[in-house]
Amino acid sequence: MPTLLEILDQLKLVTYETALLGLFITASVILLFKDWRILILALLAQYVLVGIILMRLVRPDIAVLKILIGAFICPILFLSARQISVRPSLNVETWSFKLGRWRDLSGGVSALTGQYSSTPTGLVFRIFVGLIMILVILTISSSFPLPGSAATVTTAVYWLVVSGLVTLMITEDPMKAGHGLFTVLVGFDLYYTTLENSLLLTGLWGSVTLLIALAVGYLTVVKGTGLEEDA
Amino acid sequence: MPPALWLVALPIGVAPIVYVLRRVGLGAIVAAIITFLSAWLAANLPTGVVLNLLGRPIALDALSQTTLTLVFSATSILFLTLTLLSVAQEKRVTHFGKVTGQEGRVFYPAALIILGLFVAASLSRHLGITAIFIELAAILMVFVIQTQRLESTRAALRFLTLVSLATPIFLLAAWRIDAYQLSGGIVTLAEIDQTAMLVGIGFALWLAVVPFHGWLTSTATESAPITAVFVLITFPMVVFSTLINLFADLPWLTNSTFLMNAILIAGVATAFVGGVWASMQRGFSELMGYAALYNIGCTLALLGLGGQAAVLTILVNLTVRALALVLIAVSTSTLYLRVASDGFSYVNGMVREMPLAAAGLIIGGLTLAGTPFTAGFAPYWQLLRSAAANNPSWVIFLVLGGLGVAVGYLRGLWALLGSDRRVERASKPFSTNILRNSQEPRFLMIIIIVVAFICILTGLFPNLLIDPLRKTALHVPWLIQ
Repeated sequence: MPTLLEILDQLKLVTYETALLGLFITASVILLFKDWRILILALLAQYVLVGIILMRLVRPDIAVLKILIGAFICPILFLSARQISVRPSLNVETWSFKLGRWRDLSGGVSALTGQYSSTPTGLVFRIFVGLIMILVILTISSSFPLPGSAATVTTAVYWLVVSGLVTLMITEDPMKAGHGLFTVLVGFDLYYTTLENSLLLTGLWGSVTLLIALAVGYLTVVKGTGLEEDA
Repeated sequence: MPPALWLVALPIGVAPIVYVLRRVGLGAIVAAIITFLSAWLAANLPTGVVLNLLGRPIALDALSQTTLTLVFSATSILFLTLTLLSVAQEKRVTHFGKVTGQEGRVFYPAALIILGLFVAASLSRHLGITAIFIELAAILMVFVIQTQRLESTRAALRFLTLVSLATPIFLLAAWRIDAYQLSGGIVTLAEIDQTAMLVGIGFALWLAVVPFHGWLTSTATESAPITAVFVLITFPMVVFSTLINLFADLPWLTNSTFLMNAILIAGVATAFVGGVWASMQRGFSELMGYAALYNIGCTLALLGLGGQAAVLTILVNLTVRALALVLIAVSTSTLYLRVASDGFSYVNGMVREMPLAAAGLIIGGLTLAGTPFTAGFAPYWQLLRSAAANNPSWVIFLVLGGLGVAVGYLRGLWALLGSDRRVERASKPFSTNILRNSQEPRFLMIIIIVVAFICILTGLFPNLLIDPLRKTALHVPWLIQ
């Protein structure tokens, strides 16, 4: 069985560019999808990818701590969502039904949510916003680079923060909004961890993030009816 | 243990006991006594550096002492009101150890911990640590705002989101401030502007500056009156105290090319929007939210205008705001004993059934608007004088905002004086326990009369309020000209 150090060494093989691509995918998934299981998996992947980037920038134990915080947040969100999730699980029939919906995007049908999208924030809108965001982020990150950060890290930070903010703007569902909030905070963490040397502040900030997850979980349970369950 | 730390330890230490006793009235009474005690303690503690923790100074300054006293005092009245309301609702005046209201079960223990965290935030002289403590308090406030409601999470979610977005910005600002201090205090104008921008955005989020006001107005609309007012009093008061202390500790921040102007413009815009929106509301909860927003705008405008009297006027305004909001909360809660909603169409004719609650509501609202002969007039008049000296056009916006709030409450008065009361289903689950033939509970009447009397007395004799606060204001170095 490999030790933690060996795992960390292997993870260092992941390049900045690969991690950045991964973050583009995870944040896009959080923006586009509504299924809570997919959201939580994307968030977990986001924390791991940020941790991998941080391993090259700060002490490995701090980077591992950031991954662990994500690893604690995701079960909190999972348990909250699971507690109120009462819909039947995925089966072949619903899957084929969903696939059929992909063909009808222009008709206002949301393939990823399984619902007829009559709201202005449907799937097509979110894809459109995501594409615009990519253009904006690429422009901003080259025009206003973050001091002391590599270009890839700058792009990753801007992407996470902006995509998280957009996710927050287009939803009032606590689970989805929580993922948007954590995406913003992950983006901030990626930058802030490289700047701040104080372990006290790093530790306090980590605790705060965990407590935010508890509050989001509580609101998710209270809201109850807002969760989607489709793949 | 240094005496100032008792203010942190006492409420947080008692919170578990109150939590255990949350289902019986005794928990509420313990909570009320502890907050009274903490208010007294806060007022009588010596100021100065308390200790050095991990290289960071922990100090109780005069401004924090005053704001904490106000926060504890206001909370103790709210605790008392909620307890009396629960007793009235349960018709158990003679059996004091019975079940408390639903919101109280969460509110009492959570509020005590929140107060402890606010004290910790006020004692810290490091912006990052202060921000983290305020964030921790805000996370607990989510539970207070939500209480037992199930139909909407909008207010709590907006509050959590906006406050949580501000904290990273403060951490970055704190890092920059630390970097400057480590570099020997040599700060360029560009660096000042960058820090000022971070500080400005962070405080704009915390203080519900337009367009970030969603958390404040939805909290007032959706949460129970007592819990909403707890949030509307304590959070902005601690944040204003933090902001003023920041300027006192880092006077170079005020040299920024835009910060003070930005604060002034944000304040005037918030006051104007809050006032105009207040005039169009159809319910007292919504109206309270926009009136509170207007008042925050006025306080920010005072800060942006600066000058020798700024700190004193801000302190008077914060005190008046706390008084007015407490009066509104007690009055609205009393109304809820008879009506299902505080919408204007639901409270028609209530002035005949609950005259004191109706009067309290209107006096509280007019105090927030800064109407003459109420406590709100003195700071409002000072604000208008300072604004006129700076730029007369600001006065127009501020007056229009104040008129908007006053019009909103006069519309409410018109509804209270009306004759046909619609009896429809409750729109708020926490208010379903309606007592059809109840009068205003005697103890709540006493609270309404006392607070309303203070509002009018300090309106007629503002020195009663100004003189005790002048001493505090003199301790705050103010370098804005």
